[in-house]
Amino acid sequence: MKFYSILRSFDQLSALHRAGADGVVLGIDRLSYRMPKYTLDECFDILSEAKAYGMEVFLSLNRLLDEDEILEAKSFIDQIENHGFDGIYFQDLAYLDFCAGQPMQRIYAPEAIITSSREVEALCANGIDRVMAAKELTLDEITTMASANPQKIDLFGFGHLPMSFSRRPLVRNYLEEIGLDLKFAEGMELRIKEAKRDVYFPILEEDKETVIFADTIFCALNELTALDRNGVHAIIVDDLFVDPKLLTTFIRSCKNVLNGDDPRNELENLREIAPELDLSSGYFYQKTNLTKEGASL
Amino acid sequence: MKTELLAPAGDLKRAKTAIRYGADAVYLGGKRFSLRSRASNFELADIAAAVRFAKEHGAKIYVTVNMIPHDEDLPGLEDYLQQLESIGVAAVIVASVHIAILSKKIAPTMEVHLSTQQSVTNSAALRFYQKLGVDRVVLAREASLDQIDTIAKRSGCDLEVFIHGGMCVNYSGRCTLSNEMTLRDANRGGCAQSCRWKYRLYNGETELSDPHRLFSMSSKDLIAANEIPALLRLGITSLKIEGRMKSAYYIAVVVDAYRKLIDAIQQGENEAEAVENCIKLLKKAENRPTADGFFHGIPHAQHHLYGLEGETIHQEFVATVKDTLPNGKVRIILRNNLPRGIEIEVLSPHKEIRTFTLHTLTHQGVVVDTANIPMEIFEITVPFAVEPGDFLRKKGV
Repeated sequence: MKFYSILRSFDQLSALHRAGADGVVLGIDRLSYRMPKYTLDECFDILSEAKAYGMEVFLSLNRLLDEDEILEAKSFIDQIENHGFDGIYFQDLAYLDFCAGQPMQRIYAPEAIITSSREVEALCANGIDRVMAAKELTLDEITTMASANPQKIDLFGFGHLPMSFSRRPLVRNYLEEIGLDLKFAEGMELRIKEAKRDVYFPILEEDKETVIFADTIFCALNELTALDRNGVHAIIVDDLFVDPKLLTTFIRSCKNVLNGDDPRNELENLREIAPELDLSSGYFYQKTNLTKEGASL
Repeated sequence: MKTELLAPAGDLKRAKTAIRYGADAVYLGGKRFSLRSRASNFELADIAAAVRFAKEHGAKIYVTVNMIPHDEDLPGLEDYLQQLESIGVAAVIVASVHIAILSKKIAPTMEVHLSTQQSVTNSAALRFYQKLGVDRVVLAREASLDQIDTIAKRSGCDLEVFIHGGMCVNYSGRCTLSNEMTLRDANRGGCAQSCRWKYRLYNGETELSDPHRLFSMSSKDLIAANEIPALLRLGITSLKIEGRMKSAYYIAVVVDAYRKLIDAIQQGENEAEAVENCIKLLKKAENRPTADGFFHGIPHAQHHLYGLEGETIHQEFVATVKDTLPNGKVRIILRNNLPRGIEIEVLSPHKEIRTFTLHTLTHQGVVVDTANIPMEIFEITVPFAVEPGDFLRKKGV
């Protein structure tokens, strides 16, 4: 199993390498969201240094493209051709068209819609190399899907899970409605709290998307060996809203767990860095198939 | 090419209503494999009945098989698709690549329409689905009129565009707010509409939100009366009304309004007057406040519902016609309070609105001043011919 980290600053690269990350994932201005944004020149610099470390380098081009943006996206793909990037994560299937014939892994990463073994099989039979599984899956469901499609599934493994994304500037619109300065929308500490519960969800607004994240930090450390044993290809980790030191510690812990260490001990290491860390196992042990009649609101 | 008006139906009665009032096609969901599970009241026999009724009226039935299935949801799918094909369903609306491929393979006479849950926003993404054999793509609601125009020209694919009804504030299919808040999976028919709840907005520890007007993601409903002329000129294959959970009255009003608008434009009548008339007719339905969605760009604050404005429930819909008797007598099924002496409008398929004053009102042979028992049958006199299923409403409420 491989470990790929979102690279939020160039400075992190060597630390991630030392921690055992197998690769890094970069974002690009205008084509990515909830990602660190690099210029193409910066990407080439990172690529060069990462390759010197023996690391893989991926681009996460995860925006859904408007019709008037597809030429720009295609042009970007043409510019990176044969430069040695290992692959792209994308959620707009337009990229399959743009990447045709290029020696890059095509990893389809929509936010929520890959939820069955058959879906993975169908996508991988139609030009996609791997997929990111949906986050609203139980551990049993993921391992079933992975064992039916070995080395075809990547999984988000550490960080705040994105819950929704909108094309609307939800924060700016609200600030406009109540007459507050729109600059507040640029903040990295924005949170929303549902009126009836004491839980704060980070909310991030960028130029063209607004994303709401889960309140807790999803952590797949306990489930790592099962995921590895069943053929999950890679775990993606992200330190958005999180102390970057946690990321390197998490990756080291993952490597230790795969070498036989007890995950409980490794979780303690994480808690030493952040004693109040609110970790969660996401939907690994919690189905979300209740009906209105069965749910307690 | 004739542009299709596509209407929703939550049960057989509503499917018939939609067709009677002018829908060219109706989409509905079965008990399994469909979103809006609470709106899916169609057993296979009901779907077959809807298909028969549609065929008799030159219309089509599409069935939503649009859940995003987990492995545990898939057993029985192949049989179901083949059964739908065998009873004459014209198309399935799917949100899964696996289901799209499977349906083309095992039920090849049924068209496959790609659901908006796949969020197709451009012609290059659309090509992926065309290569799979998908016959029609329902575009994401996030596409503007200009973008729809370009997608139509570049793809050459049959396109379906939402023109009326509720709007997901997030990209459809990519939202797990409901899963997080209520353990109900929006992609399997359980959406709790958590986006419409009220939230407090903080910057760090400082609350930004106005306590009297809390943060919400709730969107106004879509209305596209003004955009219909342009959509018709673009040659969009199908214009879709949202709302499988809406009432028969709502469906009648909305279908009737858009039917009249489309027909008027296609017959070369004055567009501005036809649009104005359509908007006037649509106001008779119980809508949330409406806006034009993404048709003219990114929605602003005025496209959202921040206050308490919810669905406007009019009390003007008072009864449906059950059957007719000699001498202008009509038996009605009461839905709302109906006093004698008021002016009544009759909404009939393919007719202008007709009005009369309610002079006679009886219940079990006894004259009454007011009918006020919902679902009870009353008898009235109407000075012109009406048909079972016609809707009566108070004029000018």
